Amino acid sequence: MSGTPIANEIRRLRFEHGEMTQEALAQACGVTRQTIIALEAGRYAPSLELAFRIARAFGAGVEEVFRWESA
Amino acid sequence: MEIRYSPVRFTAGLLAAVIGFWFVFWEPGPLDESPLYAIGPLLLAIGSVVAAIQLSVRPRTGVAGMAAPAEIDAWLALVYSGVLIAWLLSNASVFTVSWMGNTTTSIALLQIVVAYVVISAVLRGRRGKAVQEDERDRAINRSAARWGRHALIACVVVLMVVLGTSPAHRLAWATPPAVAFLLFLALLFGWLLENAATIVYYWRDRR
Repeated sequence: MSGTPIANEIRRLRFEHGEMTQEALAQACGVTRQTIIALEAGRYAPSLELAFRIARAFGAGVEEVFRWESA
Repeated sequence: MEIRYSPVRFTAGLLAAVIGFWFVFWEPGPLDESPLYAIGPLLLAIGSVVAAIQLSVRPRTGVAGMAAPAEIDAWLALVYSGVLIAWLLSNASVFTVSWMGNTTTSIALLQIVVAYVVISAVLRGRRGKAVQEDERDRAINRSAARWGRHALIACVVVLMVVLGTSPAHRLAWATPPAVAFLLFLALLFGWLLENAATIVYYWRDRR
């Protein structure tokens, strides 16, 4: 479950959205804060549904939040 | 009523649980028909509930803030499955003869099980509407459950081979209550390993 080629901009987007807390984002997406921590650290690849939920919480498209990072 | 975190209450609860644990395993207890038989499991139960409530209202900073609710549940289940296995092994002489023959032992077993159910319900209740489990927790649970399942299968296969291949005269110990006891232990061992694997997966996930 550790190490994923899917990188994300969650941390940056949180700060651009009024310094949204991890807890607030977690509640908006229906996950635990620990999952947001794991996502930001790049240790967890979300399901397609969660990716859409996160993108929607920021009012952005999925590709603005997540990107494939080839090794 | 709002309960605030108090280090004194947490320490007192933990101390009561430890003393209860000591009574369960080292005092004369149920086997000697001591009237104090109920003190161990009761102290263990009450102390654990107090400590668990205090832990759940503790400000979530540092390491405590990193643990997911499902991870805390796994720790609780690990401790209780360990206590239950140790307690059953220390009372094996009773359970391998008859499960219903010794009322005091049965009550003590029931108290340990009820204490676990109550504590986990209290912990879940105190978390309120917060998300308790999400897709990451479920993925970890699926991986951990495989360990538990494999451990259970291994125990059953070992028991099956022993019972199926040993000559009859060497199976005098294998009375129905004794076999039921071993199957129960196998079930608990599978649960213990599943919880241990869950904790290891969360720990690895944090590194």
